[in-house]
Amino acid sequence: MSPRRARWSSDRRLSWRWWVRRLPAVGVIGVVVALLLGAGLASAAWLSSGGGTATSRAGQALPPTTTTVAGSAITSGLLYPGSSGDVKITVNNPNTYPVTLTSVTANGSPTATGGTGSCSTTGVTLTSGSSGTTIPANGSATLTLNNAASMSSASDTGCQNATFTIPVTVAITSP
Amino acid sequence: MRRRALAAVAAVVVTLLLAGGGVAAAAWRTTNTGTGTARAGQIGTPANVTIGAITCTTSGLTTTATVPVSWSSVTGATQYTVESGRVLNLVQAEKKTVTGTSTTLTTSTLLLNIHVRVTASAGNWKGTPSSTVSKPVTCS
Repeated sequence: MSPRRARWSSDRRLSWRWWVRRLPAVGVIGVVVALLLGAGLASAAWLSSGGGTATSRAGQALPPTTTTVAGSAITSGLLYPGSSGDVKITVNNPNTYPVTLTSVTANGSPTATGGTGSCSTTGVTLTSGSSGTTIPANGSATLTLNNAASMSSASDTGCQNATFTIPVTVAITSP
Repeated sequence: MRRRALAAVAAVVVTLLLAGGGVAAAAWRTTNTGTGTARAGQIGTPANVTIGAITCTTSGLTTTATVPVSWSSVTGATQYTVESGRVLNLVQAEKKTVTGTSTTLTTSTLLLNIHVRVTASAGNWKGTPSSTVSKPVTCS
C-alpha cells in the first residue's frame, strides 16, 4: 500500500484532474466575484449622475427643511367643514445636488391662528401629500398639495378664516 | 452531496448580496419634520333673499298662504336656516332648515306682514344672518 499523498500537496494541485474536480467551486467563486464587481459598478453609475462620488455623497446627505408659508398666500382651496382644501409647503434642499420630494405625511395635530373666535377643535387632518417634485441643489420649492387636508364637521365655528399650521414629515431622495 | 452543499452556500451568498444592494439604495432616502399651511374659509351671508308671489288655498273656513322664499348660494355652506315670523325682530320665529337655496313657508295669518331672514351654516360653522325681508301676506 503506497503512502497516501497529502490532500493539498503541490503535485496534486498541478494535476489537471484536481482542477476538473473543483471546477464547480471555482465557478461559484467566479460568480460571487462577478456579482461584487457588478454591484460596485452599478453604484458608481448611479452616484455619478448626481455629480459626486459614492463616498462623498453618502457622507454629506442632509435632510430637507421647511419654511412656513403665510396664510395670506393661500387664496384658493380653502377649508370648510365636510370638505377638503389645499396645503402649501416650502421645502428647502441643503444638498449640493438636486433631490426629489417623495412624500409629505402628517406628524401631529394642526394648530390654528387668526380665526374669528375660539378654535380648539380644528377638525383638520392631512390626508395625503405625495409629490415627485424635483428641488434644485441648494434651492427650494413651494408646493401646493391639492386637497391634501380635510376638515370634519366638528370644526369649531371660531375656526372660520383661520390659518392652520400642520406638522409634517418630509421625505426626499436622490434623483 | 458536496455539490449540493456548495450550491446552497452559493444561493445564500447571492441572496445576501441582493439584499445588501437594496439596503444601499434605500439609504438615500432622508426625512425631516416641518410644517405645512392650510387656510379656512368663512361662511358668508346669503344675498338676494326674496319673497316670491304668495298663493293661497282655502279649505273650509281656513285659508292657508304659501310663501316662496329664495336666496343666493353661499360658498362652503351645506345648509340654510330660514327664520320667519310676524314681528320684525323675529323673536319666537319659526325655523326651517333646508339644504337648497329655496323653500316654501306656509301661514294662515293673512293681511299681516311676514318677515324672513336666512342664515347659512356648515357643521358647527354659522354665518351672519341675512337682512330681514318683509312682505304683506295677501293672496295673489
